[in-house]
Amino acid sequence: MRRTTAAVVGTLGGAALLLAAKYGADANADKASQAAGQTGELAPAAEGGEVSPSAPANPPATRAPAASPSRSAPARAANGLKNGLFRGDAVRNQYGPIQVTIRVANGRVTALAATHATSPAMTVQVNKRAIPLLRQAALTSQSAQVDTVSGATFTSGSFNQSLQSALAAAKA
Amino acid sequence: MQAGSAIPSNETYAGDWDQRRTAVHDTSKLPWPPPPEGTAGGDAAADPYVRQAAYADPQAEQRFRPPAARTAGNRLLVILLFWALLATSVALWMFGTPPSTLSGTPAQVTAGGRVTGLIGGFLLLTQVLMMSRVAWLENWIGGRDLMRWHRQVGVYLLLSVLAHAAYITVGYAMSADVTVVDQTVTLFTTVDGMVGAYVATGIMVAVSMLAIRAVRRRMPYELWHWLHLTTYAILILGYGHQFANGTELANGGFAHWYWISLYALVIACLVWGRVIEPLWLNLRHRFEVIDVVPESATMFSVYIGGRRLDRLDARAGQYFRWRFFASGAWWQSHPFSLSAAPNDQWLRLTVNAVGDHTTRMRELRPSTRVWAIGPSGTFTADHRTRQRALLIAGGSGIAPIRALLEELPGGSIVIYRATDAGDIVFQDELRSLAQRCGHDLRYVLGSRHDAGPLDLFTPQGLREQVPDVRHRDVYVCGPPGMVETAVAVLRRLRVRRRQIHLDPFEF
Repeated sequence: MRRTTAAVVGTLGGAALLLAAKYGADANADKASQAAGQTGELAPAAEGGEVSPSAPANPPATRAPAASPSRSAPARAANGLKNGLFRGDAVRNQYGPIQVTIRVANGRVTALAATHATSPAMTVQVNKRAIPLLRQAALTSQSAQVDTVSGATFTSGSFNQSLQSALAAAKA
Repeated sequence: MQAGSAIPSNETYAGDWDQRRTAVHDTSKLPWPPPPEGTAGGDAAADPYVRQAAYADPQAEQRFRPPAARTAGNRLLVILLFWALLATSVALWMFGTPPSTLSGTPAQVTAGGRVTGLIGGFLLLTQVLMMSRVAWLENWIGGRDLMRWHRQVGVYLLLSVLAHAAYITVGYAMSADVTVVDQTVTLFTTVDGMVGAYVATGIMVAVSMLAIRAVRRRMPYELWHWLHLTTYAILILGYGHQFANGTELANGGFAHWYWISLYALVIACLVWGRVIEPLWLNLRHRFEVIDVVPESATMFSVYIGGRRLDRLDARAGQYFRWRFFASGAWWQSHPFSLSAAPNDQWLRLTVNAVGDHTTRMRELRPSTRVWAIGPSGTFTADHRTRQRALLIAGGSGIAPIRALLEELPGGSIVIYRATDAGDIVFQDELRSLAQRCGHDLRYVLGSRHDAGPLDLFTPQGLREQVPDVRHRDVYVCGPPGMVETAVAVLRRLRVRRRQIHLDPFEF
């Protein structure tokens, strides 16, 4: 290969790689906001099983907009919560997004799952410890005022916010 | 000697040594097959290199297209790609990390760990690729530069991996508000792939310590070589944690596929260069020893035959890595340059018996099977950038120079440096080649402190010997000290780097 050919091929190839990295990263940023890991499991549907618990971690293809009910469930309990499955906003903190999904039956939150970033290792380490605690506390208190888990301040904050929006969706 | 004692007729063979040596110098009774047409003793008019030697014609000088122009870009391409891929690896982090996430010391320290991790991962792949022996790399870059780069990149690899481990551990410990020790334990026990990563780092540190020159010189080359091969484990052990925990790689998308492609490329080259190419070469040619012939008191030539040698795509000045299936030698593979241009009947390598292995090689029996890897190297006539050449040989460094002389056009100057006349080999062959092709042959004898050799390696002395040295390609092969001195002098004379060709092996 002649020197000029090599210079042209090398420069164009390198530039193409960098551009690909740039666009790849941008595309990934959208996808990453769809948290991937999930802690907690949604109990089997009380009425018909439209959401399969075996595949709860699959993020939707597009970014979840504001909280949206996954199914229309007109039955409404005294406290204003409709029956059904409700996904909260994906709330981002500096370590990644948290997204809470709740199942409501007869005015009570009967199941709760939270998806979170699966990387890096440190975030996973924090989340795997904190989210089960947060989930248990939320199911007990039936509210979005869950105490912060020590050592997981950001996760707790995002969890509460996401849960808040899921509850709001259930009331809408 | 001790290894050869298993061979029955060894005594006679060793006893014959001096007698055989004198016999060889009587060129009318050569003990090896006659050189084929076109090499030594061939019809001069039919020799393509003689026809090329119309250098005296001033118009020919202008018409001359340096053969290296066709391949000069290969090396540049590899260098450009290296930097482009390194930049892309860092870009994975840069484009994937919004500046807002870099607030606070823990985040910044962790970010440092990610960048060094990506650099380290990329350099590790480069290191393995450079030693994959894959033919395109060996013939584009040459063994000498590959080895030099491997040594230099190794230092940066070690530093970036250690920095990666330190930054990540400290960064995580700071964000989780635990001690570094606790964090290390947590990483080791709970995070996927980290056990492998720690073991890989341990191996890397150990091998790097052994690679320090002072340590390496104290251990046998073979031991060092085998220990060095454990570095392949680093590639496998480090792989897991990169994809399990690498923020940039775990999320899929471009980064993920880019990294997988890098791995795939390196492994493909490794399998190709270390397994497929050697198998193909050796199954096709089935090399075996034809004869071992003394050249001087310590030097001897090994003639190697095989099937379909006319199909062997080797050039004069290149080397193979040879493994001889004789007792005590089969487990070692050593590089030796060809000491004659390849022809369709035999290959020849010429060895100075200085170590255990080379001494044992002197007792090789005819029809010993040989396993070869190659041909490799850029020390060839088609890498020259000028029409004429200057060849400087020191001691046993004459071997590739002697081979090159067959493929270089006439008008080359050979300076052959030797301690005394008894060390000179190939005297007849050199003379015959010089006469046929119009080369200029000069012997510089004496110890390195004598006036002649001292004078040769000064800018003035060399310019007196070769007034047009700046317009020649210079091929240097000899002991490391001599090569270093020669290159320094050539650079003082402003011979361009591109015109200086060095053989990869230190004789």
